[in-house]
Amino acid sequence: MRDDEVRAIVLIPILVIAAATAYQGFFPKRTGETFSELAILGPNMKLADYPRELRVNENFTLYLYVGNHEGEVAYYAILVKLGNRSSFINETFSMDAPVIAGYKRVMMDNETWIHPMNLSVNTTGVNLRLVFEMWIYSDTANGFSYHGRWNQLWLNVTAPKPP
Amino acid sequence: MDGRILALLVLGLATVSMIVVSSSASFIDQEAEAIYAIDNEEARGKVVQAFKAVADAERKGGDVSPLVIELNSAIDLVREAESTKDEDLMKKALSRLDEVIEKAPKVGEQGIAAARWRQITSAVALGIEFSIASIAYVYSPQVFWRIWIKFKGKWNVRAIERR
Repeated sequence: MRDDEVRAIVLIPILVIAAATAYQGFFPKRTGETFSELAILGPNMKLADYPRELRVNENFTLYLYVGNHEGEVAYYAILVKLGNRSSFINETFSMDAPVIAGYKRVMMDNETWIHPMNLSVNTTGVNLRLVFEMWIYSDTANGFSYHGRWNQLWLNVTAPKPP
Repeated sequence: MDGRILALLVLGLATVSMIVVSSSASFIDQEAEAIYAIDNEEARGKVVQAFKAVADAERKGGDVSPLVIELNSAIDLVREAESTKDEDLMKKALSRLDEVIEKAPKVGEQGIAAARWRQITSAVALGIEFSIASIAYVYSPQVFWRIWIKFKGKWNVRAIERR
Protein backbone atom coordinates (compact mmCIF):
# COMPACT_ATOMS: atom_id res chain seq x y z
CA MET A 1 0.00 0.00 0.00
CA ARG A 2 1.38 3.37 -0.96
CA ASP A 3 1.27 6.58 1.12
CA ASP A 4 -1.35 8.18 -1.18
CA GLU A 5 -3.70 5.27 -0.67
CA VAL A 6 -3.36 5.59 3.11
CA ARG A 7 -4.10 9.32 2.84
CA ALA A 8 -7.19 8.69 0.69
CA ILE A 9 -8.62 6.11 3.12
CA VAL A 10 -8.21 8.53 6.05
CA LEU A 11 -9.31 11.72 4.24
CA ILE A 12 -12.47 10.49 2.46
CA PRO A 13 -14.57 10.03 5.66
CA ILE A 14 -13.31 13.36 7.03
CA LEU A 15 -14.32 15.16 3.83
CA VAL A 16 -17.75 13.48 3.81
CA ILE A 17 -18.34 14.67 7.40
CA ALA A 18 -17.14 18.18 6.44
CA ALA A 19 -19.56 18.29 3.49
CA ALA A 20 -22.45 17.21 5.73
CA THR A 21 -21.50 19.88 8.30
CA ALA A 22 -21.41 22.59 5.62
CA TYR A 23 -24.77 21.51 4.17
CA GLN A 24 -26.48 21.42 7.56
CA GLY A 25 -25.02 24.74 8.63
CA PHE A 26 -25.53 26.81 5.53
CA PHE A 27 -28.54 25.17 3.82
CA PRO A 28 -30.63 23.94 6.76
CA LYS A 29 -34.10 24.09 5.17
CA ARG A 30 -34.89 21.44 2.61
CA THR A 31 -38.24 21.26 0.90
CA GLY A 32 -39.10 18.54 -1.54
CA GLU A 33 -42.46 18.29 -3.24
CA THR A 34 -44.99 20.63 -1.64
CA PHE A 35 -48.65 19.69 -1.28
CA SER A 36 -51.69 19.90 0.99
CA GLU A 37 -53.93 17.09 2.16
CA LEU A 38 -57.69 17.17 2.48
CA ALA A 39 -59.77 14.23 3.62
CA ILE A 40 -63.16 13.69 5.16
CA LEU A 41 -63.48 11.06 7.88
CA GLY A 42 -66.72 9.42 8.91
CA PRO A 43 -68.40 9.80 12.33
CA ASN A 44 -66.01 7.22 13.81
CA MET A 45 -62.96 9.13 12.53
CA LYS A 46 -62.33 6.47 9.89
CA LEU A 47 -62.56 6.46 6.12
CA ALA A 48 -65.85 4.61 6.44
CA ASP A 49 -69.43 4.80 7.74
CA TYR A 50 -70.29 7.95 5.82
CA PRO A 51 -73.93 8.96 5.96
CA ARG A 52 -75.89 8.33 2.76
CA GLU A 53 -79.54 8.74 3.72
CA LEU A 54 -80.53 11.75 5.81
CA ARG A 55 -83.58 13.69 6.87
CA VAL A 56 -83.86 17.45 6.41
CA ASN A 57 -82.08 19.30 9.24
CA GLU A 58 -80.82 16.02 10.73
CA ASN A 59 -77.53 16.66 12.46
CA PHE A 60 -74.57 14.49 11.56
CA THR A 61 -70.89 14.66 12.37
CA LEU A 62 -67.96 14.23 10.04
CA TYR A 63 -64.29 14.89 10.68
CA LEU A 64 -62.16 17.16 8.60
CA TYR A 65 -58.55 16.13 8.02
CA VAL A 66 -56.13 18.75 6.68
CA GLY A 67 -52.39 18.30 6.24
CA ASN A 68 -49.93 21.05 5.42
CA HIS A 69 -46.83 19.95 3.50
CA GLU A 70 -46.34 23.25 1.67
CA GLY A 71 -42.92 23.80 3.22
CA GLU A 72 -44.17 26.87 5.10
CA VAL A 73 -46.93 28.07 7.38
CA ALA A 74 -50.27 28.25 5.52
CA TYR A 75 -53.70 29.73 6.19
CA TYR A 76 -56.46 27.37 5.04
CA ALA A 77 -60.18 27.81 4.59
CA ILE A 78 -62.34 24.74 4.05
CA LEU A 79 -65.72 25.49 2.51
CA VAL A 80 -68.57 23.00 2.68
CA LYS A 81 -70.96 23.44 -0.24
CA LEU A 82 -74.19 21.76 -1.18
CA GLY A 83 -74.54 20.98 -4.86
CA ASN A 84 -76.26 18.41 -6.97
CA ARG A 85 -75.48 15.96 -9.74
CA SER A 86 -75.10 18.72 -12.35
CA SER A 87 -72.84 20.97 -10.24
CA PHE A 88 -69.39 21.26 -11.75
CA ILE A 89 -66.08 21.18 -9.90
CA ASN A 90 -62.54 20.26 -10.85
CA GLU A 91 -58.99 21.09 -9.77
CA THR A 92 -59.14 24.53 -11.39
CA PHE A 93 -62.67 25.72 -10.73
CA SER A 94 -64.49 25.56 -7.43
CA MET A 95 -68.16 24.66 -7.31
CA ASP A 96 -70.75 27.36 -7.81
CA ALA A 97 -73.08 26.32 -4.99
CA PRO A 98 -74.24 27.65 -1.61
CA VAL A 99 -71.79 27.40 1.28
CA ILE A 100 -73.30 25.69 4.31
CA ALA A 101 -70.23 25.78 6.57
CA GLY A 102 -66.66 26.98 6.65
CA TYR A 103 -63.56 26.37 8.74
CA LYS A 104 -60.36 28.38 8.93
CA ARG A 105 -57.02 27.37 10.34
CA VAL A 106 -53.41 28.53 10.24
CA MET A 107 -51.12 25.52 10.07
CA MET A 108 -47.41 24.93 10.47
CA ASP A 109 -45.49 22.99 7.87
CA ASN A 110 -45.98 19.21 8.36
CA GLU A 111 -48.87 19.81 10.73
CA THR A 112 -52.12 17.88 10.45
CA TRP A 113 -55.47 18.99 11.79
CA ILE A 114 -58.52 16.87 12.52
CA HIS A 115 -61.63 18.86 13.33
CA PRO A 116 -65.23 17.74 13.95
CA MET A 117 -67.86 19.21 11.64
CA ASN A 118 -71.44 19.23 12.86
CA LEU A 119 -73.50 19.55 9.73
CA SER A 120 -77.09 19.40 8.57
CA VAL A 121 -78.83 19.82 5.24
CA ASN A 122 -81.94 21.99 5.00
CA THR A 123 -83.32 20.82 1.68
CA THR A 124 -84.59 17.56 0.23
CA GLY A 125 -83.02 15.95 -2.79
CA VAL A 126 -81.67 12.81 -4.40
CA ASN A 127 -77.97 12.54 -5.18
CA LEU A 128 -77.07 15.81 -3.52
CA ARG A 129 -73.35 16.46 -3.36
CA LEU A 130 -71.79 17.70 -0.16
CA VAL A 131 -68.53 19.14 -1.44
CA PHE A 132 -65.54 20.10 0.71
CA GLU A 133 -63.20 22.58 -0.95
CA MET A 134 -59.77 23.63 0.19
CA TRP A 135 -58.88 27.31 -0.16
CA ILE A 136 -55.56 28.82 0.82
CA TYR A 137 -54.52 32.37 1.61
CA SER A 138 -52.33 33.74 -1.15
CA ASP A 139 -50.12 36.75 -0.64
CA THR A 140 -50.11 37.53 -4.35
CA ALA A 141 -53.89 37.37 -4.64
CA ASN A 142 -54.18 39.18 -1.29
CA GLY A 143 -57.00 36.82 -0.35
CA PHE A 144 -58.10 33.21 -0.38
CA SER A 145 -57.86 31.29 -3.62
CA TYR A 146 -59.13 27.85 -4.51
CA HIS A 147 -56.32 25.33 -3.96
CA GLY A 148 -57.68 22.63 -6.26
CA ARG A 149 -58.28 20.05 -3.53
CA TRP A 150 -61.82 18.82 -2.95
CA ASN A 151 -63.84 15.90 -1.65
CA GLN A 152 -67.46 14.99 -1.90
CA LEU A 153 -70.18 12.94 -0.28
CA TRP A 154 -73.34 11.81 -2.10
CA LEU A 155 -76.50 12.24 -0.07
CA ASN A 156 -80.19 11.48 -0.35
CA VAL A 157 -82.13 13.86 1.84
CA THR A 158 -85.78 13.18 2.58
CA ALA A 159 -88.45 15.23 4.35
CA PRO A 160 -88.31 15.31 8.14
CA LYS A 161 -90.29 12.77 10.10
CA PRO A 162 -93.80 14.00 10.97
CA PRO A 163 -94.12 14.72 14.69
CA MET B 1 -54.08 30.42 -44.79
CA ASP B 2 -50.92 32.39 -44.41
CA GLY B 3 -48.68 30.97 -41.67
CA ARG B 4 -48.18 34.40 -40.14
CA ILE B 5 -51.92 35.05 -39.85
CA LEU B 6 -52.40 31.60 -38.30
CA ALA B 7 -49.69 32.34 -35.72
CA LEU B 8 -51.34 35.69 -34.91
CA LEU B 9 -54.72 33.97 -34.52
CA VAL B 10 -53.26 31.37 -32.13
CA LEU B 11 -51.55 34.13 -30.13
CA GLY B 12 -54.80 36.13 -29.98
CA LEU B 13 -56.78 33.08 -28.83
CA ALA B 14 -54.20 32.29 -26.16
CA THR B 15 -54.32 35.89 -24.88
CA VAL B 16 -58.14 35.90 -24.75
CA SER B 17 -58.25 32.54 -22.93
CA MET B 18 -55.64 33.76 -20.42
CA ILE B 19 -57.73 36.87 -19.73
CA VAL B 20 -60.89 34.75 -19.28
CA VAL B 21 -59.15 32.30 -16.92
CA SER B 22 -57.54 35.05 -14.83
CA SER B 23 -60.78 37.01 -14.56
CA SER B 24 -62.72 33.90 -13.50
CA ALA B 25 -60.04 33.14 -10.89
CA SER B 26 -60.33 36.61 -9.42
CA PHE B 27 -64.11 36.20 -9.42
CA ILE B 28 -63.68 32.99 -7.42
CA ASP B 29 -61.42 34.77 -4.93
CA GLN B 30 -64.00 37.49 -4.40
CA GLU B 31 -66.72 34.88 -4.05
CA ALA B 32 -64.83 33.07 -1.29
CA GLU B 33 -64.04 36.31 0.50
CA ALA B 34 -67.68 37.34 0.32
CA ILE B 35 -69.09 34.01 1.41
CA TYR B 36 -66.68 33.05 4.06
CA ALA B 37 -65.19 36.20 5.47
CA ILE B 38 -64.96 37.38 9.03
CA ASP B 39 -67.64 40.07 9.22
CA ASN B 40 -65.74 42.40 11.54
CA GLU B 41 -63.52 44.39 9.20
CA GLU B 42 -60.93 45.22 11.86
CA ALA B 43 -60.67 41.57 12.93
CA ARG B 44 -60.42 40.38 9.33
CA GLY B 45 -57.61 42.82 8.60
CA LYS B 46 -55.78 41.94 11.79
CA VAL B 47 -56.02 38.18 11.17
CA VAL B 48 -54.44 38.63 7.73
CA GLN B 49 -51.84 41.03 9.14
CA ALA B 50 -50.99 38.55 11.91
CA PHE B 51 -50.74 35.67 9.44
CA LYS B 52 -48.41 37.69 7.20
CA ALA B 53 -46.26 38.62 10.22
CA VAL B 54 -46.07 34.96 11.30
CA ALA B 55 -45.21 33.81 7.76
CA ASP B 56 -42.48 36.46 7.58
CA ALA B 57 -41.05 35.37 10.94
CA GLU B 58 -41.01 31.78 9.72
CA ARG B 59 -39.18 32.76 6.52
CA LYS B 60 -36.53 34.36 8.72
CA GLY B 61 -36.12 31.03 10.51
CA GLY B 62 -38.00 31.78 13.72
CA ASP B 63 -39.90 29.14 15.69
CA VAL B 64 -43.45 30.30 15.05
CA SER B 65 -45.33 27.39 16.61
CA PRO B 66 -46.43 29.36 19.75
CA LEU B 67 -47.55 32.23 17.50
CA VAL B 68 -49.58 29.87 15.29
CA ILE B 69 -51.33 28.44 18.36
CA GLU B 70 -52.10 31.98 19.56
CA LEU B 71 -53.30 33.05 16.12
CA ASN B 72 -55.63 30.05 15.81
CA SER B 73 -57.08 30.70 19.25
CA ALA B 74 -57.65 34.34 18.22
CA ILE B 75 -59.42 33.22 15.01
CA ASP B 76 -61.64 30.89 17.08
CA LEU B 77 -62.40 33.75 19.46
CA VAL B 78 -63.33 36.06 16.57
CA ARG B 79 -65.75 33.47 15.21
CA GLU B 80 -67.24 32.87 18.65
CA ALA B 81 -67.55 36.62 19.25
CA GLU B 82 -69.30 37.05 15.90
CA SER B 83 -71.73 34.19 16.46
CA THR B 84 -72.60 35.35 20.00
CA LYS B 85 -72.24 39.09 19.16
CA ASP B 86 -70.11 39.43 22.29
CA GLU B 87 -68.20 42.73 22.18
CA ASP B 88 -65.90 41.82 25.09
CA LEU B 89 -64.92 38.58 23.40
CA MET B 90 -64.17 40.48 20.21
CA LYS B 91 -61.96 42.93 22.13
CA LYS B 92 -60.12 39.98 23.67
CA ALA B 93 -59.64 38.44 20.23
CA LEU B 94 -58.35 41.72 18.79
CA SER B 95 -55.87 42.17 21.63
CA ARG B 96 -54.65 38.60 21.10
CA LEU B 97 -54.16 39.36 17.40
CA ASP B 98 -52.25 42.53 18.37
CA GLU B 99 -49.99 40.41 20.57
CA VAL B 100 -49.23 38.07 17.67
CA ILE B 101 -48.49 41.03 15.37
CA GLU B 102 -46.22 42.52 18.04
CA LYS B 103 -44.36 39.29 18.87
CA ALA B 104 -43.80 38.05 15.30
CA PRO B 105 -40.95 40.44 14.32
CA LYS B 106 -39.06 39.50 17.52
CA VAL B 107 -39.44 35.80 16.69
CA GLY B 108 -38.14 36.57 13.17
CA GLU B 109 -35.11 38.35 14.64
CA GLN B 110 -34.48 35.36 16.92
CA GLY B 111 -34.59 33.17 13.81
CA ILE B 112 -32.03 35.34 12.04
CA ALA B 113 -29.78 35.29 15.12
CA ALA B 114 -30.14 31.49 15.41
CA ALA B 115 -29.28 31.07 11.72
CA ARG B 116 -26.22 33.31 12.12
CA TRP B 117 -25.10 31.36 15.18
CA ARG B 118 -25.61 28.08 13.30
CA GLN B 119 -23.45 29.40 10.46
CA ILE B 120 -20.71 30.47 12.89
CA THR B 121 -20.66 27.08 14.64
CA SER B 122 -20.67 25.34 11.25
CA ALA B 123 -17.76 27.48 10.08
CA VAL B 124 -15.82 26.64 13.25
CA ALA B 125 -16.64 22.94 12.85
CA LEU B 126 -15.53 23.09 9.22
CA GLY B 127 -12.27 24.76 10.27
CA ILE B 128 -11.61 22.02 12.81
CA GLU B 129 -12.44 19.32 10.26
CA PHE B 130 -10.10 20.80 7.67
CA SER B 131 -7.35 21.10 10.29
CA ILE B 132 -7.83 17.43 11.13
CA ALA B 133 -7.80 16.64 7.40
CA SER B 134 -4.51 18.57 6.92
CA ILE B 135 -2.88 16.85 9.88
CA ALA B 136 -4.14 13.50 8.59
CA TYR B 137 -2.73 14.28 5.13
CA VAL B 138 0.72 14.95 6.52
CA TYR B 139 0.96 12.35 9.30
CA SER B 140 -1.42 9.53 8.36
CA PRO B 141 1.10 7.50 6.25
CA GLN B 142 3.70 7.80 9.01
CA VAL B 143 1.20 6.70 11.68
CA PHE B 144 -0.15 3.93 9.47
CA TRP B 145 3.27 2.43 8.79
CA ARG B 146 4.23 2.73 12.47
CA ILE B 147 1.14 0.73 13.43
CA TRP B 148 1.81 -1.70 10.64
CA ILE B 149 5.32 -2.31 11.89
CA LYS B 150 4.10 -2.62 15.48
CA PHE B 151 1.73 -5.41 14.60
CA LYS B 152 3.52 -7.12 11.75
CA GLY B 153 7.14 -6.07 12.22
CA LYS B 154 8.10 -9.37 13.84
CA TRP B 155 6.73 -11.47 11.07
CA ASN B 156 9.18 -13.61 9.22
CA VAL B 157 8.98 -13.67 5.51
CA ARG B 158 9.75 -16.99 3.95
CA ALA B 159 9.94 -17.68 0.30
CA ILE B 160 7.67 -20.50 -0.82
CA GLU B 161 9.19 -22.87 -3.18
CA ARG B 162 7.51 -22.88 -6.53
CA ARG B 163 6.09 -26.17 -7.68
